[in-house]
Amino acid sequence: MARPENDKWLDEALSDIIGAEKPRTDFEQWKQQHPQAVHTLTARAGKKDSPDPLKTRRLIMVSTIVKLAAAALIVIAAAVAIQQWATPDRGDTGIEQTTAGRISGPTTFMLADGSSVKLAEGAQIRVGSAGKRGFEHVAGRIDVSVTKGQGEFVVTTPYGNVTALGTQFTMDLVDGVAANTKEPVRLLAVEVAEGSVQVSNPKGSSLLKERQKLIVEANQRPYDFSQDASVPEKVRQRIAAMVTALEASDAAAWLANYNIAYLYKLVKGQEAYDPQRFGGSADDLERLRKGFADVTSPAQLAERFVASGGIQSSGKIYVRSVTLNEAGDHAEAECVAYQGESRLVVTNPKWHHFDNDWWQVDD
Amino acid sequence: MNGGCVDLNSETQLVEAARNGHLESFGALYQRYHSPMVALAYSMLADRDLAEDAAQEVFAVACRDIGSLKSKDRFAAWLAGICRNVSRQMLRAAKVKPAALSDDCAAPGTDDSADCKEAIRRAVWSLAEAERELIVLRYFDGFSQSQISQVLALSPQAVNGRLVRAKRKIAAYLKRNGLTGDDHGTS
Repeated sequence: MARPENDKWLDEALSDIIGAEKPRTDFEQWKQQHPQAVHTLTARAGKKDSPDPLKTRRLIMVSTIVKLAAAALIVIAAAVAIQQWATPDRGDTGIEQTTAGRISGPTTFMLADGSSVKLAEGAQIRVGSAGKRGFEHVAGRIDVSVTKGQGEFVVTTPYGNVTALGTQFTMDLVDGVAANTKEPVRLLAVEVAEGSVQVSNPKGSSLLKERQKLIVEANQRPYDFSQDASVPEKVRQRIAAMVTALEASDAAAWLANYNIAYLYKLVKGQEAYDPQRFGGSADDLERLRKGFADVTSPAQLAERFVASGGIQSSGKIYVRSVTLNEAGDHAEAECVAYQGESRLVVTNPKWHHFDNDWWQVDD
Repeated sequence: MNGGCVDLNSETQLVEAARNGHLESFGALYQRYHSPMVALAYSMLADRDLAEDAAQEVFAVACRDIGSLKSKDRFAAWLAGICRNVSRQMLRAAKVKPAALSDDCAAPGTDDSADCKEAIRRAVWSLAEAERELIVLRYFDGFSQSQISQVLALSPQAVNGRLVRAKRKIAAYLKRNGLTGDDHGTS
């Protein structure tokens, strides 16, 4: 009890006191009680949002100079478009080289420079008619293979730009709702298979090398837990091991992050319950003790864990943040994980430092 | 967008549709943010019923003013701003003194569970407004750091850091009052 802020009891007490009674969310009732508000909103149907176009129109018409500038801009844009249409290098090997516009998955799309984009179900990109190499990533998961030696290749997204030179990488533009927490999840994940990419937005920039991945969220700098210097190296290794094991559904590798010797002693009653080290509640421990009462060694306990169902097949896991407590002996990550093709969940695995090492204590 | 298919998972689409008068989309946003708004109002009003009333009013104001929302991906933060204004107006109008700070609350004892809860409540409402918002949002309905970061327009890292600091202050308050986890009766 030396550090009450780190103890579960405070969490439980705060949940108990502040969250004792959940509010009832009933939109139908709200509508009945607020007919005027409903009318105000529905009256907007069929109307365009007027402020912006009016503002724009006022700006454009404000002076002759602006009008002339606008006219010049239109002429230049038209000239560029005509020039591009007339360019003989449009190619004739497929619609990918001649048609600008939105492409939806599942498909593999070849760009004019030989680069390719594999779009998963639900993925979308928008390809410009000409100009710089690259495209706009609109939604979903894509695998990009960039042809080497032809200059900068830029993929734009709502969260930042990904710049590549001769490389293979995967991008996943996630826009969904977590099935467990019901929270909206919107982020971009970038993973490099070969070469390197630069991920940039106004908040920051990060160089990503082979087998590294990072995530970018709205108005935040790109985050790669493996490069987060505020987190101990060993914790980062543990997180990476957990992610790799879960993505591969490798229960034994996943279990290797846990302190099995300690768990065995706990099961056998040779260690007292400690929420920081165990991760679960006292009831969880009781269930563990009942379920594995007959094991005779840590190795057998591990085997039984794996045999008892292993781990659910998991898709990609993206680590959004890692937080260390003040004492520096407890770490918690917030992750977004796919279960199956499209089901998203938010998880908060935890690690604790004891027995001279960092151990995962909660998944 | 209006009248077309709206992806209920895409908040920006919902906001855009609501701006165009699509009531169902506004309803989906209501479902998503009603509870956080009650929590946010509760952090200011310290009264559950008043907080529910405030949240209802927040969505009425949002209906009226949604056309003024500049950035579709900041809907939650915009809503939170309305919520703070509505709650302040209610505080001024009713001259409400947050219940957790009212004088008729018993001073915390040493080992009674009710006293301990009262002490924790007092500790929470002794925090600065920004910290209190964080704590209440976190523990009101189990909102994740990501949800909180959207409502409060903070990064998840900032939410984490500030939560740790706020909890440390609560713990310090409790310690000053001679309370620890043992008094709460939890393991």
